[in-house]
Amino acid sequence: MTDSKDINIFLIVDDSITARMIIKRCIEIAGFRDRAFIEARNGEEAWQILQHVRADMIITDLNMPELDGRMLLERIKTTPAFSSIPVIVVTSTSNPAQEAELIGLGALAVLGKPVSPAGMYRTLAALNRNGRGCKK
Amino acid sequence: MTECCNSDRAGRLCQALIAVVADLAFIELEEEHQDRQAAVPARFWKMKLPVVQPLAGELLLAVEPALLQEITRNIYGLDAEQPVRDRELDTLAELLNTIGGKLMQVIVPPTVKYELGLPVLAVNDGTSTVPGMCLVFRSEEKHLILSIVGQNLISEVMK
Repeated sequence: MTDSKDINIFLIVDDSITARMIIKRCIEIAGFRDRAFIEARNGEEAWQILQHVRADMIITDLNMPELDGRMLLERIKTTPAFSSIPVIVVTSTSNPAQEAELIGLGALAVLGKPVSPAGMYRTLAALNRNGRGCKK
Repeated sequence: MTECCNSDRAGRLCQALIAVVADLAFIELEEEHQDRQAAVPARFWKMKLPVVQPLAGELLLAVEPALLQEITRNIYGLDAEQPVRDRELDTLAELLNTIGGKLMQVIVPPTVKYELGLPVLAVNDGTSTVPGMCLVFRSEEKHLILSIVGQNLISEVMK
């Protein structure tokens, strides 16, 4: 399992540059200032990036053109080379039914928009408690 | 209950919208009024968001340029003299997307999945009247209008 001290590269996937900036800022405030951030505008672009760069954590929006977040998640979790990469879904369309389905597909966590530094911190800290990572 | 929100769900939606703008941009909106249509000056920026399921309809967010500029500057942490024009429409789309999610959380039971489309910039054709259920907010003298279009959507909000 990934440990957060080993998370050096975050891949942020969202079709909104504003959303990507907010997510990046939240991660930095949550204690990951000195990490590398790669950005993708949709799932397809993220998938192409993954062929060349090994991301340590992926944070993706759900509702995007071309390849959406659900399909990206499914692709990642069914591809042995990438299936161990933790994926956090950030979405405005979050409710318990949606969250259960995404967790079932392999998402580590689902965060509702607008994401906050506190929400991001709690999510990353929970990974540590679950023995999955996030020791800052 | 405020004067603009004459149902419990509409009241919760108003509060959610105010909270989204405050959380993202540190701007306090006030509810001004609610109407079955709203006059929107052509200079307002307008973005549409389709509601796909379980109810069909559309949301339209119209924001006065000066307020959108202020929201964008605050979200990005930019000074007054720094240009924001290229980020304003993306900010408007993300704002509408987030507000759309809040609306659906108000009207859709937690066991039911829902789906929104992608935000689309509304053509600024000079139309001065926005149909549907219009929730009008203001920050000082600058206005933001959320219009809910589609009878089924409106009926759910008015419950």
